[in-house]
Amino acid sequence: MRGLAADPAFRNGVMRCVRCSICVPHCPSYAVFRTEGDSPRGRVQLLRAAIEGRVVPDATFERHLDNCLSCRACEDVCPSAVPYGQLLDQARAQLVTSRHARGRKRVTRIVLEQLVARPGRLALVARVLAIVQWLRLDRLIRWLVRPLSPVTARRLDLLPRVAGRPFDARTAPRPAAPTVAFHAGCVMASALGDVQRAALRVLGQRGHATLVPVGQRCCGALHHHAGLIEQARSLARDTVARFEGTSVPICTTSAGCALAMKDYRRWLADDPAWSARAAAFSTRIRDLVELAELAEPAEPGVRVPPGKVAVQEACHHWNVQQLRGRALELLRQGGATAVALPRGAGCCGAAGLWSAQNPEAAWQLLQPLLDAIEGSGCAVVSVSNPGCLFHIRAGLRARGSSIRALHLAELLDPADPA
Amino acid sequence: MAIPADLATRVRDVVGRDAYLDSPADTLSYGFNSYPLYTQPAAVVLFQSRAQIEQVLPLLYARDVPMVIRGSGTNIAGSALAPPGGVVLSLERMTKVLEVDPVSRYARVEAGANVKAIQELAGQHGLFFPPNPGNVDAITVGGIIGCNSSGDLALGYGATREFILGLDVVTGDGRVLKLGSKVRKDVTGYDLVRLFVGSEGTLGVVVEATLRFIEKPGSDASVIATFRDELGGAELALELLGRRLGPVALEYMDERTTRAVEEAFGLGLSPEARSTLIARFHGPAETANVAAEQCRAIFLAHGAIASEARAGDAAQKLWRARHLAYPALARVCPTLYGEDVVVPPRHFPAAVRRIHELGKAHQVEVALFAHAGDGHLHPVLLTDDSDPAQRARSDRFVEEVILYVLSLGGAITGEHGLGVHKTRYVGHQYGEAERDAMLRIKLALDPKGLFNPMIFPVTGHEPKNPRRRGVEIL
Repeated sequence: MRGLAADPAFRNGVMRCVRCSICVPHCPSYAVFRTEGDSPRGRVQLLRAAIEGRVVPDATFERHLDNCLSCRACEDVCPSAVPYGQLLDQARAQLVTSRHARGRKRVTRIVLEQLVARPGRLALVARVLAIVQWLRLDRLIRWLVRPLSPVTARRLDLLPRVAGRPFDARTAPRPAAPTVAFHAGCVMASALGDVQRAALRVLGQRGHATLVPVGQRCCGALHHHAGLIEQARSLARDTVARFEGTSVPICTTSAGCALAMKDYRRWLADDPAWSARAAAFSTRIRDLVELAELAEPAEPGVRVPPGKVAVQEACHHWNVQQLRGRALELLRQGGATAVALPRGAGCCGAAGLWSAQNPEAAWQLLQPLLDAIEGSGCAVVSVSNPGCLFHIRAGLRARGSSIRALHLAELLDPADPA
Repeated sequence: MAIPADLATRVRDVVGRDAYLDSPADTLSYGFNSYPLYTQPAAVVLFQSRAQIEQVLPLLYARDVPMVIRGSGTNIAGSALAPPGGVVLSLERMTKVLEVDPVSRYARVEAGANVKAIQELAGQHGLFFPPNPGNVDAITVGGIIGCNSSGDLALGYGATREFILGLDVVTGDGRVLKLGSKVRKDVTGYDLVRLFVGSEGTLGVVVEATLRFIEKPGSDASVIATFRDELGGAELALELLGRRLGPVALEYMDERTTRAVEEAFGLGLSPEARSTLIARFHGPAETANVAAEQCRAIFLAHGAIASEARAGDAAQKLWRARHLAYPALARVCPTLYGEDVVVPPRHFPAAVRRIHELGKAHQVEVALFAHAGDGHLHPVLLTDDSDPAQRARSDRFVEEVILYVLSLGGAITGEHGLGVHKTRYVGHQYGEAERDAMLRIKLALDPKGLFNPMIFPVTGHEPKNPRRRGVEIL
């Protein structure tokens, strides 16, 4: 952490915390682990101790940092404006090469570098997974694994279910004068192809000529959270370059990607060749829930299922991006009876790879949200982030619930009344 | 000082491996409060139940291990700061509501229960739990009992002490004292419940409390007003108290606090505002609104820049901003010392003036907010602890403020407690006879002086300068 001790911005950020504890009750990892080190306040104080030389980062120190879901609920409620997300990303970047938890870090690195960042391989894995799931082999594997390792069985519970064939940018129309560009994403494109195609129809229905740049890769959000900062920056540069040539807004269907891409200006701020390009790119990013800013629907009313729709708001909408209530508003404009879930239900516990690393904790965090969804009396729940969608679907499936979790794009889709 | 291995094993056997923490990262995580001083305990025990406390406490006590009880670690005076080489007894996992009786209007809860959750629990039964300290989202029932916290609504309802009917306390030898009862009228023997409320964890471990609920007010309205000069608001607060409108809360913020709160919460306050007053009224149906309107008229008639009544969500936002004034000041300066002195309300405007004068005289930056109706002032020192000269000036400022409030018949702490911060000043408020009486009580319940030993009265000797002592601990 020596490098961070010499960084005045990092030091000032850490020193801003007066340990008031306002963040603690809002933190999902504190809710599940219930120790100070697993609260935002505790983590910031650990960082302070580290740069002041009062503690040498060890396995426990790193575990507390890794237990953060990066939901940034703490940052949203912090009266002292502690830049928590930034501090944590910087600290994780320092610790990514440390000797602690090497095995787990290696697995994470392999998954992120060799799979998530490579669209071809990701699509292939998604197809294999789809076949496995179609043959119900996953259930058989789970049944065999469960007596040996309940944690692995839980991981299998949480494995994404592939929805339709992968989304391929090359098959999308190429308008001469696009009015919006579409970010296809990595996991979204591979495992939720149906959602991406629905999103294009939604944009089309709103009168947009949508350009889908080919060759898109992962936006780097997952890498950044895991402390793989250089890889994340490289993916960011790649993404920025793909969308240059036009200045139209860029629509994304993932709350996590939207936040990351809006943050590119910060990620690449110290890169003279890219800082201006990244800043220009970041201002173009629009989450699908910001759709109302992109265009009004060509005809009033989108086809949404009868009955009430419960609306789950992703942490990355609720916190930092301040897009609260936008999904609700869009669904209501479309004629749905949309019901906001109580925010007390909190984070679903997906958080990118976090749920794979902490399956039991992720499962525990999901339960109050599932209770709220089931208690809402709705037949459908709207979700706006891929991680949350997989996680909530897995939870509802495990409960044997008939409630369907659908992406907002599927609910707004004019061609496919869900 | 490390905890002997055999003792650690025995404690682990009771609470489980995961609930006994002794790695450096974990013990550091429990070595702080909101007070700017860091210590490092030898171990932390995370209790799940009172039964575990009853088993573990005699083990630690018999081996002379110093201990501190910690809820959510929010104390601003360092009342829950780990003694060097000691053990933190964390009650943050003991949050259960054990019994609610809406007819008799009480609830029995574990000491780690969150105060906001208790307020909501009362609300679900159409009842009201008035203790409302600033950090209500995070603080625990045990914490407000330890410091007899009051917060803004103390003007209308009194401090925590008024709402505690009974306590279960575990002492060092593992005995359980069941103090008080479930009824309001109880004069059986000495009032040991009141003794424990405000004792800052120096006498034993409060594990359960029976809380008194009252009827929920039929109406609730708030008024905010800003003023062009810093004293204007303070003087008007006194004027308002004389008008007998019966506010349940009457809060004051000086210029620095007003600005920090505006920056953090965007209340829409005038940039010309040099002070702010916020009043709150409760009463039977609609009476609060009538009182709030009268109050607003008084504010405007006395030169307020602007004044408006707020209710519902807008009022909630207003009170949240006021409650979080202290952490909002961290935007101005990262090292804060939150002071906590009380004067008879008559002297409130004079005290505001004097505290600012003392700040200037000692060249320390001071922001001030206050529960004006109670004459309860929170000057906040905005300081840099790494500068010894500034630290010395801050110490002199605090001591002079203390001498000043005592000269008016006030108290050196109203709700934060003595903590390690003010232990050294007790002698200014109490003479030897009073301190000796307190010491005897302390030793009757904690003969080895192991509970929260950094706080007076321990074994007769007070730490001379806890801040420096803290640095040594590091």
